[in-house]
Amino acid sequence: MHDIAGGAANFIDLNAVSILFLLFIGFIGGLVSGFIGSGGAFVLTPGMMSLGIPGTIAVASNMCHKFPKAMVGAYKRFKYGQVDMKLGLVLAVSAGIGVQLGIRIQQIVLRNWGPAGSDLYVSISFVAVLLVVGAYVLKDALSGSRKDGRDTVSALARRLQGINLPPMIHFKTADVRISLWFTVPVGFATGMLAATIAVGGFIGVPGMIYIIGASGLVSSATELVIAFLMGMGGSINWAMHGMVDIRVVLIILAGSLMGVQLGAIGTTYVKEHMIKMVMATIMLVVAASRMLAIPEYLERLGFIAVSPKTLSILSEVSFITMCSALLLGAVIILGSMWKARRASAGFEALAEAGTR
Amino acid sequence: MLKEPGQSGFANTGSSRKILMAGKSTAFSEQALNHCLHLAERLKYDLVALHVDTKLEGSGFALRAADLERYLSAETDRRGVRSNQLVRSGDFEQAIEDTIQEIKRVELVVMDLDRSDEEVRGLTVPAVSIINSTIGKGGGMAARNESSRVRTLVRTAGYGALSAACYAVVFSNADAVMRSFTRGGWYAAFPIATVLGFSFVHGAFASNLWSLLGIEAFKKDRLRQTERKVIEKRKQLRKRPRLYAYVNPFHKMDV
Repeated sequence: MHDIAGGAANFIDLNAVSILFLLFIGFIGGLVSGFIGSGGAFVLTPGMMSLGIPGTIAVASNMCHKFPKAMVGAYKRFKYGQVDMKLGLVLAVSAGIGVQLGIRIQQIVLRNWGPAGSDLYVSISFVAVLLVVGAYVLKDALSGSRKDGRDTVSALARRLQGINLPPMIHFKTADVRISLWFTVPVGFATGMLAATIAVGGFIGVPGMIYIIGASGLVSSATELVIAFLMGMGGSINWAMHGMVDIRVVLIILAGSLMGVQLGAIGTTYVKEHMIKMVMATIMLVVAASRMLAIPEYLERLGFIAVSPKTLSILSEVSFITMCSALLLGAVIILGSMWKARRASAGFEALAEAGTR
Repeated sequence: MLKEPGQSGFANTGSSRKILMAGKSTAFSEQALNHCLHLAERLKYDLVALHVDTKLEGSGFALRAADLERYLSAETDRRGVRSNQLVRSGDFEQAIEDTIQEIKRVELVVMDLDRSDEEVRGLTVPAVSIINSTIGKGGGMAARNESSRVRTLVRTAGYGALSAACYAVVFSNADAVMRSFTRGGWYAAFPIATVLGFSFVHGAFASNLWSLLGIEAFKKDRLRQTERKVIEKRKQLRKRPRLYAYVNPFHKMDV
């Protein structure tokens, strides 16, 4: 196997500012991932590239930090009884096939329309998927908040669960009995999205909630299993090409392993609709951010004419909006955790006082 | 504010069924509290918390009980259980019996007792005692919490030192590490094994650190979910349509 990166020469020098930036972004990304099962990765790749790390190394290093983080998050949430291992494994198989197809489509787009066409395809996929799914999840989260935060099984999931199409599988933790054939499109779409925009969970978690009928809590926890398996496969592939910058990976891991555990702990405090709320908020803000990046690609393809200054402003605003999506998610998670902890502190104080 | 019988919304109405949770302290043990809250939620009973000032401490006892009232109301509100809190003084058994007679329709008395407490037998309604088992075991819960805290501290320091050492080894030999880790092919095992090893050591450190800072999972979560599932299942069972077959024993008779 030859060395594509050309040895250590292509890897950047790290200074104190870049280390702190990677630690911080790793922590916030981990917090969001531990809570909603995915997310965080979409900011890390452009974030690393803004430090001067080449795109492919940024993608490879991001993936290599993602799978151990997902593993720790999945283990933590498994201990809380939230992970449906069987569902995760079944979905990971179809997601693997989806990833392969997603890569093929990317290659076709790249061959026919070049890098700008590929970027445009990625951005349009981002905006279309995140706007539609994000709006639906937000609507459901808002209606959930009116029902004391309890999850209800969607009408579509109930109908699909009622169709007896062998082989039928019972997922114990998710408390769902559904045909294997209805889980395949969810895993497949998760893999395709992961190969296209690097965050498969934005379709995987809503798919598990609205198509399979699992709760938000179980879906977000199970997504971590899928992220671990897919991320590990991808990381081995990247590492075999010598593209992983282990220094960057370890720095991000230092922050994200702290964050992912806090996020996982957070899920035991908040009401179930909060997971959907955080996910929808992040998805919609990220969609807005990618929308701002579209004019640049259209200009590069010669469809529209925009001044370079406007493009640079749009690009900066897009990046800032993307970072703010992650920060907003983190603020909502920490805020709701704080509120829930205060409410439960009363209960614990009462219980503790009894032992005095 | 503390509500005395007669002032409260439901305590003297006698209209709804009640569970009376009685204790000699200004608060209750976790076991008794959990039991009563879940029972009241499942059976849709009201919950009356009775604090009996057996040592005749007076206003200090009442004030401490009042402090805890808001915590109890927050928890019962969250579960949709109506509750009230009462304070009486004097003999424990007599105070319970007086309350039973006064507030009416008490279906069950749950007594929160210590091991040293005498059993109460003469009540006119069914009663259960929940003995606080933490007392007398290795110095009680406070001592156990302290030793567990020390264990967490030791583990945090150990894993933290190990994690720092691992980082120091990699970053002090960064050039050599980068050269061998980016050679591709079978050398891919190095970065993969390294991140797995780091995630174990640093993950354990992070987990212990959050515990040390008092940030731990809300343990009642699973219990609460199980309770909800039980309630939901019972509701479904109640609604399930049942088939009744009527067989006419004379259907073959020619009349």
